[in-house]
Amino acid sequence: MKHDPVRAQWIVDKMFWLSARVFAILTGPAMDYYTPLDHRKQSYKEFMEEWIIRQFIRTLQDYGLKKPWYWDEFIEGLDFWHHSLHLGVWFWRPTVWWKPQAGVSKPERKWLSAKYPKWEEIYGPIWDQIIANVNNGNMQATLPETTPWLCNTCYLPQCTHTSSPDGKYRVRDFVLTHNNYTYHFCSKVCRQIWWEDRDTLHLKTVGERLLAGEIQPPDVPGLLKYMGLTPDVMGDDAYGYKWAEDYRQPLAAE
Amino acid sequence: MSEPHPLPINAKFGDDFVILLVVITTADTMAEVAQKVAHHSVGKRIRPQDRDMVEYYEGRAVASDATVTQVGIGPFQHVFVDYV
Repeated sequence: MKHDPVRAQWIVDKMFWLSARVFAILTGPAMDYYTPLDHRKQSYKEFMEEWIIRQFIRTLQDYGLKKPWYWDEFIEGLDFWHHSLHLGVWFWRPTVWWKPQAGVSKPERKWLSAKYPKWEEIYGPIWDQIIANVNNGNMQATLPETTPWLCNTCYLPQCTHTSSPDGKYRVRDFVLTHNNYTYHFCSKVCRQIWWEDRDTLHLKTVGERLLAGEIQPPDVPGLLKYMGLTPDVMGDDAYGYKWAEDYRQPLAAE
Repeated sequence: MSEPHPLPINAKFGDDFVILLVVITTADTMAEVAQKVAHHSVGKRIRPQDRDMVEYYEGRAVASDATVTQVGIGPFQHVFVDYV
């Protein structure tokens, strides 16, 4: 701050955003989906507000730093990022090495809606389709046949909802063509960060490696083989989909 | 005329929560592109509906009978598909 306050601000801004993105996939699902309902003391958003945001703002003030330029977008993301990332981990569960719990039984869903007023509108219909597939025995439809497109900055899937003037929340592609190569980002912020530090090391995303021919065959089975995920290691639903039975339509009385 | 070849695109269907890698070919019509994009979302996470689809490239709806080459879609470019 004494010698280069602009650089200091940039480093803090950049690393807070990237840390928040990773935190959303590491801690968000753990708090709002994996922790048994009876043991949840706070939602992920409540935790972030109490333990991260208040302390961070105080620290910024102590050091004479300003709030990052993207602050409003980060706050808005507390209602969405981790829900999308959890859904992504669950749907692409063969690509992880643990058994993710879906966390959308009826009581859990009621809790989610109470803590996140937009949850049912954005994620309800998606989980409803998945639940219908499970209950119809169409398990193939609950599994992926392609990869999500990963952001070139945070390496997480492009699944970041942002608000629009019409009040709807949408997932958008943020694109940048540089030196004849097209990069994709989950958000304007990730794109800005990449652009500012574009001369630093650029690691290929898994999707880019697949498209470059480094993953053979270039499909989901090839990707799983590339990641060293054998059938005994690949993730599956933690409770064998039993939670979906609660959604089955009762048979009509004869 | 050159042989059709595979083309990876960055694609999203409707209100799905995530953007996907979808492989189309340069000879596909946009209607065929819509089907290929929809395949990864509709019936998996998006409720199937008996409605026509519209394809968007660079923010504009494109003719369903135009080919990928005619529309000018290149590798890694973004296509959005939705129900009408």
